[in-house]
Amino acid sequence: MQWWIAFSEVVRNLGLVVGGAIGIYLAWLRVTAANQQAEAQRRQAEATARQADLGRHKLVTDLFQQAVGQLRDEKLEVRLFGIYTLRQIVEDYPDYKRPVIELLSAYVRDNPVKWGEGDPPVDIREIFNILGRTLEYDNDDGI
Amino acid sequence: MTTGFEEEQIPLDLHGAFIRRTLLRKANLSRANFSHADCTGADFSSSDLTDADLTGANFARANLMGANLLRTRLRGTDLRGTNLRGCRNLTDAQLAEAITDDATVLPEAA
Repeated sequence: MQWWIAFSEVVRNLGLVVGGAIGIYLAWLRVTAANQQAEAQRRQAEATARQADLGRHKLVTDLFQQAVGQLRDEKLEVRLFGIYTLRQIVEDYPDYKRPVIELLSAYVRDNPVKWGEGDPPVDIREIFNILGRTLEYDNDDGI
Repeated sequence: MTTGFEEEQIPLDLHGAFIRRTLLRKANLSRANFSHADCTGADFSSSDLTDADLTGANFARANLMGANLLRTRLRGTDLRGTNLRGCRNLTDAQLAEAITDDATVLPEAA
């Protein structure tokens, strides 16, 4: 009888050990699956962000090229539309500030119109509005 | 006031440009290139022209009131009738290189 009790305790303990090991293994499988799922979601999010960035870049590039073409137009209203497009680009996408400023500066430098002692024409005025806003700085110690 | 653009300073290149009577008040024009530009009557008051190049430019009757002229290159710059009142960091050496007349309004300290 003593032997039987000792044997059944050994069997029970072995069962507990085996059961525990199976539990740990299942938990490990579960954690691994969850990690893989999280990694897949992260990759998906990165791909989506990359796609959005490419789309944004393409949109701005298209707008920029369109504006460059409009700045070359003979008609003032078309040129003005190009200038307004560039203003919108610099407001919505501040990281494109440099090319916009360089493009507008080139436009002013190459502008053949001389307005004597009068006020600058509307396209030049609008460009300086944009430059003024874009290059504005905090002048606390100024007068 | 902040504009959100302070992190990147972009030098403006308007060398040789005809920009009479244009307005660029309170603008960051540091390292800008206005050499040989016609800025007659322009208003750049309270702007920062640190290290800007105004060599040979025409700033006659322009308004540079309160501008920061630290190390601004003024060799041959036409400052006749220009308002320089309240300009900061303008030295006698800079002024000596520029073209001034009796109508030039000099900073109080100059």
